[in-house]
Order: sequence, then structure tokens, then C-alpha cells
Amino acid sequence: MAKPLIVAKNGKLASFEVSLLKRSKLYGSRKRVALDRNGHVCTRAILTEDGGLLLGSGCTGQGYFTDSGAWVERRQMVPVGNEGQVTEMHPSTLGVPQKINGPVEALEVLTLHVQSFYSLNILNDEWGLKSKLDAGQIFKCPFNYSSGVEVETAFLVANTSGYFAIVGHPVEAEWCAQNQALMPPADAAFQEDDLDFDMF
Amino acid sequence: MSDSINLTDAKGRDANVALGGLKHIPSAVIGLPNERLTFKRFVSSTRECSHEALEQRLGDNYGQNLVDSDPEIDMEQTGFFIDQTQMIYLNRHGEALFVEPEVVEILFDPQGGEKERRVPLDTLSNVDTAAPVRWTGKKIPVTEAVRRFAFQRRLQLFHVNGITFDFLFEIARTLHMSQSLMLVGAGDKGSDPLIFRANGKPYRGFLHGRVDDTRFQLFLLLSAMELKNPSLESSS
Repeated sequence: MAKPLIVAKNGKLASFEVSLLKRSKLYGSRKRVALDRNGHVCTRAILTEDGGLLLGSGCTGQGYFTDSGAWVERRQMVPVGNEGQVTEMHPSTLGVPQKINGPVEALEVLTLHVQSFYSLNILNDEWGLKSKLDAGQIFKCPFNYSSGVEVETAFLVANTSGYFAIVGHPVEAEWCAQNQALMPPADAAFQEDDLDFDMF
Repeated sequence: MSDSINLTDAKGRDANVALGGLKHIPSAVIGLPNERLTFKRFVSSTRECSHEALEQRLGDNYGQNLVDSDPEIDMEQTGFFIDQTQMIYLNRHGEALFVEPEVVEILFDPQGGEKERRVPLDTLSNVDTAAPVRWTGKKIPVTEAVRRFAFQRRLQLFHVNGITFDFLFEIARTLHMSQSLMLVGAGDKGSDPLIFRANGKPYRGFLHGRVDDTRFQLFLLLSAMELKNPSLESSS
């Protein structure tokens, strides 16, 4: 089990058990499978461009390579900033008390580029956070489920179903003015997705 | 993904406007200083070197052969970088299919159990078609919406000319004043989810607007689930 999310204010703590909230856990999921003419499920494999190799599951690997072709292991790699400088790796925030801020405006939640949602189960509440969340207040704190090059922001919210953390990075958008021609940026997240068959 | 959307406003007028993604650009990436790294796929094994193939080929001598001659490694192929590939299907005997397979869609319940099998239905994008995405009139206060829906994507709407500037500004102003989100939907009644590409994931769409003097920001927030506790859902 993951370490708890611990938040602190005025020396008092509140802690939560966290579990990733996925659509499939709430509504189920769907999957398309291919069947051969006898009705048996087919597996996928890849054929190299020259047709010389047929590679099934487990026959390929992936990794980072230098221009000279040397394989760089993940443990050798470090966070590198935009200027090429080595930056800090931020450890997981779980299990370590994080300063909580708020209550914050609901509009602030809408600035997030959301990475994930977590369902929270209250383990301990010295500070009285539960009653504040139940009253509709929203709080935020730094959050990293695992170590990363940046620290994400979690907004803690509640509704009649439970307590939740909405996690991501705040992104400021451009203002649109009449005399200003804006080129909308492409949504890379959509472009990266290939056909997605996980529909309602 | 569609880079435009045909949208109606509160008066039922429709206009075609530009759509763009909002993405966080990380301040750092994992890598090596002063070294350009490329992510590549490579051959790590071949089917002839798989455990099953070796077990069948070597029988009782499998273990000793592993020690003596490294049959699990194909020295000719292992390590080759893979670039362009084609996906093919194999039958349960590991043989390539030379006829198109039958595709079925399997529905699973939240516990992972199979619920239904059916012929898959192909869906088309519905955000930039002759039938506009409709303003449903269903307003949800921002304070309620952020605690009820999981907004997974945030797209921004942009004007493409002076007329659409006025169109979008008015929508943003209305929503800014009411501090609420507007549910929008596809189809004749505006009740269908939004689909941005063929066979893409369907989302519920909500407009969110802000104005600052003569400038505006108008967003389309996309959600494919509510904020609900899975344990309560399964028990109910």
C-alpha cells in the first residue's frame, strides 16, 4: 500500500490513504479483440519494415540511446533543465507532511492541466479538515505520487460520495483580444493517442 | 483531433471557431547534461529464442544448453533497432493470419468481469459537423462542478475573425457573470457526448468563460467520469 498523503497546517496534521481513481473502476471498460475464423482470440505481433522479422510479445525492448548508439540506463539519467543544467529530482511527497493552503477559489482548480485523480480515505484529522471539505471548501498542497522532475499540485475536494485529490500542473492560458490573431497550440495529448477504443 | 468546433450560443446561433489544447510544458526532462538522447525500440529476443520454442526444441537438454551455448540469444538479430513496423495478428498457434480477423467488443464491469460481447460500432467525430455542438442551457455553478466532475482535458476556443470574436466574447461574458459552466452536447438535442476523432473517446463538454475588460478566455472542459468513490459505487 502506498504511503499516506499527509497535510499540515499550524502544526496539526491530517492524513489520507490515496488510491488512483480510474474510469474503469466506476463504469467498467471495453476492449476490442480480434478473433480468428475458429473464434479464438488472436495476439498481436509486429513485422519489421523489410518483412524479415516477426516479433511477438516480449521480443522487443526500448530505451534511451546516445547519438553514438550507447544505451543509457534509467538510473544514469538526471533531471535536465531547459538550459541544459542539471536540476533537482523531487521525491514523492507521500508520507511526508506537506503544507496545505486554502481555502482556495473553485476557479483555481480549472487552471490545472490534470494528470490524475485520486480517491482519498481519511486516516487521521487533527486539524478538522474533514468538516471544512464537507462544507465545500477546497484546499491545495504539493503532491508527487512518485519522484519526478517537478512537484505537482493537488486540490483536495469533497462531495457526497467521498474525498478526492485532483492532481496536475496549473497552466495559464492566453487572453483573446479582437485585434490579436492567435494560433491555437495543437493538443499534443490528443495527437499522441492513436485510435482509442475505450468508449462509453 | 479536430482543430475546430461548430458551436451554438444561448440564442441558438452557430459559428465555427478554432480549438486548441492547453498543455503544461515541464521545466526539466530526464536525460543527460550535454548529451542528446533518443528513445528507440530494439529487438531483445526472437520467437525462435522464446522459452516455449526452446522448451519444445531442446526438451530435456534445455537447462544444459542454456549453460553451454546461450540458445536464448540470437546473436544476429538481438540489438537491432526497430523503426517502421506493421502490426499483424497471430492465431493461438502463433501463426500469422492471412485473412482479416473478426473483431468483437467486450464490455467489462467495474470489477473486471466480462459483461457482454457485441459487434463494435464505429463512431465518427461530431464536434465539427453540420450539426453544431449545442448550448444545452444547463448551467452548473463552478463551485459544484469542480467537486462533481473529473475534468481530464481543457481545450481553449479561439476566434477566427471579428464576428466570431463577438460570438465567443458574449459566451465567455455570460458564463463569467454567472460563475457557472454550461453543459454542451452533440446531436440534435445536444444530449450526445463529444467525440473529437473517429472512434475516439467520448467526453461530456462544459464551457467555462472569463473576461477581462475587452479580452476573453473561453474553455471547453472535457470529462469522462464523475468524482465518485469506487467502493461506494460497487456496494450500491
